[in-house]
Amino acid sequence: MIWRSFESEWVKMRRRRLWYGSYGAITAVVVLTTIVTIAGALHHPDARGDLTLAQLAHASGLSQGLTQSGVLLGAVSFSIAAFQFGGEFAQGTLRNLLVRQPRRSVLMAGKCLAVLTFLIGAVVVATMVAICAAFVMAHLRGIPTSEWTSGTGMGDLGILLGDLAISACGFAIIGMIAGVLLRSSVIAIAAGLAVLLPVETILTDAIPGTARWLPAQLLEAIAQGGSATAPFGAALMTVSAYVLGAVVIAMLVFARRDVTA
Amino acid sequence: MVLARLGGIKTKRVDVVLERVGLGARGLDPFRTYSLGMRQRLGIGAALLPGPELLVLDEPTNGLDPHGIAEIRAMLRSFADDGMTVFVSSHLLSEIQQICEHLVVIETGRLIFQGGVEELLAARAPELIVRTESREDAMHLLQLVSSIGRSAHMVGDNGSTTIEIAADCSWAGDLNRLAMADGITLVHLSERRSTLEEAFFEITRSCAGQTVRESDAPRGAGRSDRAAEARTSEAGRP
Repeated sequence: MIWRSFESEWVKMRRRRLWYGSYGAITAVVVLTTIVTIAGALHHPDARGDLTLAQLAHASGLSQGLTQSGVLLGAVSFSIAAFQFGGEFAQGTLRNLLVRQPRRSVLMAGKCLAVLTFLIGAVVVATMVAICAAFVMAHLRGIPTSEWTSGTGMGDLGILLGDLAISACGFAIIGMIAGVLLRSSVIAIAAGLAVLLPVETILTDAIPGTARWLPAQLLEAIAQGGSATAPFGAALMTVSAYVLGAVVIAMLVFARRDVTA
Repeated sequence: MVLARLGGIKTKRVDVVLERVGLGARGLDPFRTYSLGMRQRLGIGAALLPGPELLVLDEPTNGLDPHGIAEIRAMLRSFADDGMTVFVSSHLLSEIQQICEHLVVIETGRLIFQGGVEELLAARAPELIVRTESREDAMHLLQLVSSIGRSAHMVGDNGSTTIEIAADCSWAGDLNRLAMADGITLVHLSERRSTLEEAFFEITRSCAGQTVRESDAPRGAGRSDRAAEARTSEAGRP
């Protein structure tokens, strides 16, 4: 049952416009961040501790640019997921889907899995392209890349890829929930991005310690493999609790609310 | 394709259904390029995907232009001819009259009729419409008809030459001979059968304040306890 819902959602996601748009946006974000990070690296360390060319030459150097793309990648993932779910209400297509699959939790679970696999694919593709861009940039800036291709370098890259995928999925699940609760892709994307980006940033700056509790801050920390304020394990646990609670609420609302569109 | 996958229906069936609703050549076109009638047919196609024996449609011709209405009407007729039972809920009684064989009339949640279309139309007797050359002839004919026990009345203003007589077309010949025998020339003679709309008002008026009434039609001829109002069956159309 979930498999059918998963398959049917993938029929929609294979549409060229959505495919090129989403994969293009995510790839652009990750590649751009990688290029900017390598291009902005300093020759010598400064007082602020900004990234240097010497640091980029380490095994983890390849991952440095990708690490910075967490929030932007999350914003795009959130928007795609909110669009996929909110759009069903706004366009009135949800009613047709429910005629074929009346069990709403099954429909939602299949759609959710499809969106997540779509985004994981996008993160993998974006990472591959960003790696190519990183090698080009390293060549241009004279950064030795022998360490990048070492076992340690590849291991770091694999871990980072996993972290980015988890972070993107977290943002996407929040996007789906926003789409289901607000029943409009436009409102969900506008309200969601406003809360996750500027509002959370202001709160984090204004109230010390809140980064440990705010979802976007936690997901950003996960994308970076953990931060000083939110270690990876703690961030993952807290986000998992948030997502679980929100999914339960979204499922209940989706199952009980009348579909009028 | 989305709905076929979701319902576990073979994707080959999509082409069959698109062909069935007349969208075979437009199957790969974007939805936004479809006219309202095509969208309506696509919706009906979606309902046909699992190959139902019973199709329930709510206001299928709503918002369509005359051409689109005719297309939907022909399509529903063809479904019935192929053995499918089509249940149509509609407030457009003229449409219902054209496509349906059995009716269920519901007013303010009460079932007030179920049975054949002809049966409901019979609730209001047919009339002969007669027009004479002059007002005097019309008055004379009215007296003649009334004198032999037929119910008749003048229609229109004082200068009118038109009479309505409670009779069906089988009496038209007798009427013509009666008029001719008295030297009255008829310039128009036709039968006016009641429309479904008139019949509807007739039964809703007569049922006002009463409890649910059902016709003597076979129970299976238009069975429904919901808001569906008309049914096109696989049986031949009258």
